[in-house]
Amino acid sequence: MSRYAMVIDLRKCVGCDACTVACRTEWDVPIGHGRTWVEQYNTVGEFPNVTSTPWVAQCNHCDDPACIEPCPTGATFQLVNGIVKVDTDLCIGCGICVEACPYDARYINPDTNKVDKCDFCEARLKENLQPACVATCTTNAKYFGDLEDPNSHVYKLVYEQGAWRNENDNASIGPNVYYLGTEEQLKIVREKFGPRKSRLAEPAKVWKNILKPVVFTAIGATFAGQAVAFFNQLRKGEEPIDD
Amino acid sequence: MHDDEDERLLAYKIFSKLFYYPDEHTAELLLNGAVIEFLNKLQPEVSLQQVMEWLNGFAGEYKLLETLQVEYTGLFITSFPTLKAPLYKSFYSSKELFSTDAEIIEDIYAENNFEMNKEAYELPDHLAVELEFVFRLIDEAKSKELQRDFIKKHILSWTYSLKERISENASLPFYPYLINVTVDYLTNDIKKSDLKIARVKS
Amino acid sequence: MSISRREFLKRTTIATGALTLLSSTKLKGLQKRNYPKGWKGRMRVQEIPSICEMCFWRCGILGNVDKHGKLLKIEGNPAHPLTHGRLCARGNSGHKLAYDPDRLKYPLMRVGKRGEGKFKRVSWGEALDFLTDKLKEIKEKYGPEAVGFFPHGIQARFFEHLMKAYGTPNIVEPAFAQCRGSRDVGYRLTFGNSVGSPEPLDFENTKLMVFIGTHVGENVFTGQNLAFAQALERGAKLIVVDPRFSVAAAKANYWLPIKPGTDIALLLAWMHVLIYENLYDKNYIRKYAIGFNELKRHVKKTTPLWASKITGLPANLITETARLMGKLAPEVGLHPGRHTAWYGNDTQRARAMAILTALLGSYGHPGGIYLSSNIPAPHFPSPEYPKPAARADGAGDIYPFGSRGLGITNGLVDATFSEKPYPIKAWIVYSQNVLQSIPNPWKTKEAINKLDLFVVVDVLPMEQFLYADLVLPEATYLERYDDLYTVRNAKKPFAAIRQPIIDPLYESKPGWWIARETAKRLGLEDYFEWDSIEDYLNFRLSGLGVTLKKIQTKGIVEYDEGKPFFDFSNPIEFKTPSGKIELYSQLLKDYGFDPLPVYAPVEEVPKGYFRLLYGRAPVHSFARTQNNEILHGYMPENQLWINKQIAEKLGLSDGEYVRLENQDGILSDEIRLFITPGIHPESVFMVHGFDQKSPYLELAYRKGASDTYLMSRVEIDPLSGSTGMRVNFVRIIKNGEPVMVSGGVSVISEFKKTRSDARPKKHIIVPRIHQESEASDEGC
Ligand code: SF4
Ligand code: SF4
Ligand code: SF4
Repeated sequence: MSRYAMVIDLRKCVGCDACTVACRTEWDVPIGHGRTWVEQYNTVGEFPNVTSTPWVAQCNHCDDPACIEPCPTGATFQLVNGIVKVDTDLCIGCGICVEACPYDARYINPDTNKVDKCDFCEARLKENLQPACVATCTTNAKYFGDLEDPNSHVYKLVYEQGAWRNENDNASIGPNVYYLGTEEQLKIVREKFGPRKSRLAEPAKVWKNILKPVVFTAIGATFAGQAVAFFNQLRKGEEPIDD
Repeated sequence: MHDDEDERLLAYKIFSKLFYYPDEHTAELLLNGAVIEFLNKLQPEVSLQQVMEWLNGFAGEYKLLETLQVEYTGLFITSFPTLKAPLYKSFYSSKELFSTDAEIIEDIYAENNFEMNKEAYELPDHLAVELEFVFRLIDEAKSKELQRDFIKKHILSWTYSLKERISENASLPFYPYLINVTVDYLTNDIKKSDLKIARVKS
Repeated sequence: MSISRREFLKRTTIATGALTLLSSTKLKGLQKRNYPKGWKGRMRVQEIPSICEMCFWRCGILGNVDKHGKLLKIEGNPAHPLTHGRLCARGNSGHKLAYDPDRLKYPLMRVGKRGEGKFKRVSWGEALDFLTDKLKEIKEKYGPEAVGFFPHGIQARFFEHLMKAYGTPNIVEPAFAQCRGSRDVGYRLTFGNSVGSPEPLDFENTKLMVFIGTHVGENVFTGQNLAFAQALERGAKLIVVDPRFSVAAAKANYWLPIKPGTDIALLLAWMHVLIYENLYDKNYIRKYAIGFNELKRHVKKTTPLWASKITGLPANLITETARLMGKLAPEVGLHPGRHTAWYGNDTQRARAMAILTALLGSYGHPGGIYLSSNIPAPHFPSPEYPKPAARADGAGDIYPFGSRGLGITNGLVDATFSEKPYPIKAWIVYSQNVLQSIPNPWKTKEAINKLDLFVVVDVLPMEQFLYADLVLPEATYLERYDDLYTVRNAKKPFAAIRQPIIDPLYESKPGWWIARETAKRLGLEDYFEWDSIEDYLNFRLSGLGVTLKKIQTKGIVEYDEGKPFFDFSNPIEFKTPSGKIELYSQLLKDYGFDPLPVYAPVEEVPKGYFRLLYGRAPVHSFARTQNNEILHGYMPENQLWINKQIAEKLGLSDGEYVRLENQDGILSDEIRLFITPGIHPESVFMVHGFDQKSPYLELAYRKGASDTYLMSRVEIDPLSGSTGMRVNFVRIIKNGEPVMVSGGVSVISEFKKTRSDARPKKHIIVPRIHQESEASDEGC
C-alpha cells in the first residue's frame, strides 16, 4: 500500500515556471489554465526591509477531499494510493467540484469541456517516471514519493523535518502537498495562499444524499442536459429547480 | 456520369496546381485562355471580369510570374503586417502549424497509400496537398464517401475563413477569384455526391 | 488518363492546346508508397537526445517524437552532466518554435523598397546564386573586409568558417560588447584567463556565494539553478548586491540594495576590510600575486564608512559581509557576473571583482572558481585562411583590449555608419537580432541603409528581416546537426551533439548545409572537404575516442581528464605578463589606464527621472522567445518595476499602463506598472527583449516596452569597447504628461548631451597575447 505525497521546498524554489510548462506540455493544458501554477514575486515589507517567497501549487490529493462528495456523477474519485482522479467519461463538466475545491486546483478544460487537474502524473508513475514537474524542476525543489515508505525522501521531509501543510480555518482537509520554507516564507504563504471557503451552497450536500442515485442512472441518457443546468444553479448557490 | 468524373479530375488538378507556389508552368496555364475559360465554366457565377482585365495587362509570362510570386508570398507565406492567409488547416483550427489535424490528415493519406513527398517540403494539411489528394482519389476511382468526407471535414471546414482572409487582404484579383471558384465548386461537388451517395444507398 | 476522357475533353470543355498543357501539369506534394506487410504508420515513437537552443546554455534534451515524426514534448536528458535531466521553462517549450506559424519557411528575396516588407519566395539555388554573385562583386570592388558578419551560437560556426575563408576580419558577436566582454577582459588581465561559460563556480563545495547584480533564478541556466539551490540546501551562505530585490536576494543572508553604479566603491571597501583586518589569504597572495603593496595603499582610504556614503549601504553591513567572506575564504564563490556592460567602467569593475577573488584565495581553489579544461576535439583539416585586412570595429586598437575573436558589434555599426576606417558594404546577420541586442537601434538602422547587401539567416522574422535583401530560413535547433558542442567549463569536461529530432520543416536548411553550398558557389569548397556532416562530426569526435553512432543514443560524451583546481604543491604559472596574479596591472598602466580600479561616480539621476535597469526573466531568452506560444502565454509583455513608496507619492497604481520618456525625449510603448517594495527608489526595472517591432511576429508584436529602444546613449568602456547601457534615464508619462511629485520640476537641461557619434581618438595597439583571440562555444 502506498500514500503518494509531494513536498515542495520553497527555500530552494526560484519560481522559474519550468515545472508548470513541463506539466502543460505533458498534459496539453491550454494556455490560461494550469494543473499547477507558480507566483514568482510575493514581496512584502518596506524597502529595504523586505521578504519574499515564490509559490508553487497544485492539487493536494487531500486526505478528505472536498471535491469528491459534491460530484453528481461520481467522476471524481480517489485511488487507494491517495491520488484524486477525474474520470473524463463520467464528467459532465458541471464544474461543481471546481467550486468545491478550497485550493482552486481544478479547471474546466475549454477544449474538452471536462474538468481537469493534477493527478500526480499517474500515467508516468506507471512507467516508473517521476511526475513531469518533479523531473524538470530546475532546483530540485519538488520531491515526490510514498509516505508509507519510511525510507522515502518525502517520508523524512514530512515526519522528520516537519514539512508544513497548507491548512487554515477555511479548510482543514489534509492536503498531501507539503511545504518546506523559512518562517518568513510560510507567513507570506499563510496570508496570501491559504485555502478559501467552499463556494458551494448548502443544497449541494442535500442533493448528494437524496438525488445522486437517481441522476446517476439517468445521466447516461437524456437527463444529462438537465443535470448540467441543475448543477450550474447549485454552483451559483441558487435554489435548485424543483423537478 | 463518366464525363462528370473527368471534369472533376481536371478541376481538382487545376485547383491544386494553382494553390502551389507559382512557377513558369502556372504562368503558362493562366495565360492560356482555355484554362481560364474552363475555370469560368466550372463556376460561371463567380465574376471573371477583373481577373481578365488584370491578366490582359501581361504580355509575357515572366512579369506575370513574378507578380504572382510576390502576391503568393505576401498572402500565404510571410506577410506584412501579420500573417494574412496561411494555407494550412492547422493554422485555422489551432493557431499552430502541424497540429493534430495535420497528423490526422497524414494518416488518411497513409491509409490510401500515399505519403508526403519529402522533396516538396510541405506539410500534409496544406490546401494544395489536400486538393492534390482528392485529385488522386478521383484518379484512382476511390470511394465517393471517402472523397466527400475528406473534402467536407478537411477542406471546406476551414476554407471559408481562408476565403474571407484572402478577399480582405489580396492586392490582386486572382487569388480571391481562385478561392471563390474553388470553394463554390467544392461545395457544389459535395452536394452532388451527397445526392449520388444517397441514391446508391437507396 | 484514359483515352475516352481525353476525347471527352476535346469535345466539350477545354481546347486541345490547354489540354496538352494540363497533362504536363505535375503535382508533387504526395507520392505513392508501397507499404510492407503489416505496416502501421511511420512508427517513430522514440526519444532522441540533442541539445537545447532556447538560450545559449545548451542543456541536454530528449525529444519525444510520434509516429508522424512530430515532436510532441521535450524532456531533459538525464545523461547531461550539469543539468541532470532538468530543463527550464523555455527548454520545455522548444517544440513551439518549430511549429510557430510565423517561422521563416522559404528563402525570400526582397522585391519592394528596403523596409517595405515585400518579398517573393525563391528557390535555394536562386537565393545562393544571388548571394554569391553579390559577395564576389563586393570582394572585387572593395575587398572581402567590406563584408561584416554577425554570428551567434554554434549553429553559425560553419558560416563563420566560410566568412574567414572568404577573407573578412569583421566578425562580431554581441556576446562580447553587449554582454560579458568587459568581465572576461578584467579577469584575463588579473588571472591571465577569462572566466568563460558556464561560469566555473564550484557551488558544490562553496561555503559562501556572492552575487553582484547576478540574478540566478531569473536569469536561468538550468545547471546553475540546480547547483545554486543545492548549495543553499547544504547550508552555504549568500550575499546579494543588487538594487532590486531579486529572487536570489530573497534567499540571501545579506541583501545589499546598492545605489546603482557604485559597485566599485563597495568592492574597494570590502578589500579594505579584508586587508586591514588581515582577513585575506596571505599565503596565496604572497605566493601567487604581485602588486599587493600598491593595492594596500590604494584601498587605505576606501573604508566602509567612505563607501557607505557612496553606496547608500550601512557601513556595518559592508564590514560584516567582508568579514564573513574573510571567515569563509577560500571557499567563496564570487560570481563574476554575466551581462556586465553597465556603466562604461565595466572592465575596471571586473578587475575589482577579480582582485577580491584573489584576496580570498578562491581562484583555482575548491569552493571558489575552478579552471577550465581542454577537450581534444580536433578541427577538420582545411586550408589556411587568407590573411585578412585590419579590423574595422576597433577591437585591438581603439579599444585596446577588445576581443579580436568575438569582435565589437557596436564598433562595426560605427564603422559602417561612418564608413571609417573603410566602407562596409554588406552585412550577413546570422541568428542575431541586431536591432534588439545592440543599443541605439536608430544608428544601426542608418548603418543598414548604407549597405549594398543585407542578408538575414534566421528562424523567425525578427525586426531586421524588414530590411533584408535576402532571407535564408535556417532549420531550428530541433531539425539539424550542428558543430560539436564542447564544454570546457565543467569539472569533468564533456562534449554534446546536436542532432535532428525531426526533419526540417518547409524548405529550411541546417547551417552547415547553407555554408557548404555557399562555399561551393564561391569556389571555397576546399574549406569544406567532408563528405557529410556525420563524417565531419566523426572526425571531431575521434579525439575523444568515440564515433557519432556510438553516442547518438546518449547525446553526450564525457572526458575524464579534467583538472579543475590548482595543484598548490607545485608552482603555478599564470598567463599574465608577469606570470602571477596581477593585483596591480603594469600593462594597464603602460596603456594609460588605471592600474588599480578607481571609483569614479557615474552621472547622477536627474530629478524627476529614474535610472533604467533591465534584466532577464526565467520564461524568456533575450528578444528571441517572445513569439513562442507557451512562453508568450506566461509573459506576454514586460512590466515596469517601481518602488512602492515612490509610486505612492506619484499617485501611480499597480497594473496601470504608462509610457516612458528617456533623457533624449524618446518615448516608449505602453508598459504595465509593477509596484513593489523590492527595488531601489532611484531606479526602475524591466525585463529585456519586449516590444518586438516586427509585425511578422504575430504574438510578440508591440507587447510591452523595449529597453533597447530607450537606450539612445551608451557609455563605452575604453578598455574593451563594450557598451555600458545603464546610463539611460527615464521619466514616467501618463496621459501624455510627465508624472512628478507635486512641486517638483523635471529639468531636462541638467543632462549632459547625448554622446556624439564620433569615435574616441585613442589609438593603441596591444599585443595579441593579451586578448581573446578565439571565438569560443560560449554564447550570451
Ligand atoms: S521548476 Fe522548481 S524552481 Fe522552478 S518554479 Fe517549479 S518548483 Fe520552483
Ligand atoms: S486539492 Fe482540491 S481537487 Fe485536489 S483533492 Fe483537495 S479538494 Fe480535491
Ligand atoms: S537554460 Fe533553459 S533555454 Fe537555456 S539551454 Fe537550458 S533548458 Fe534550454
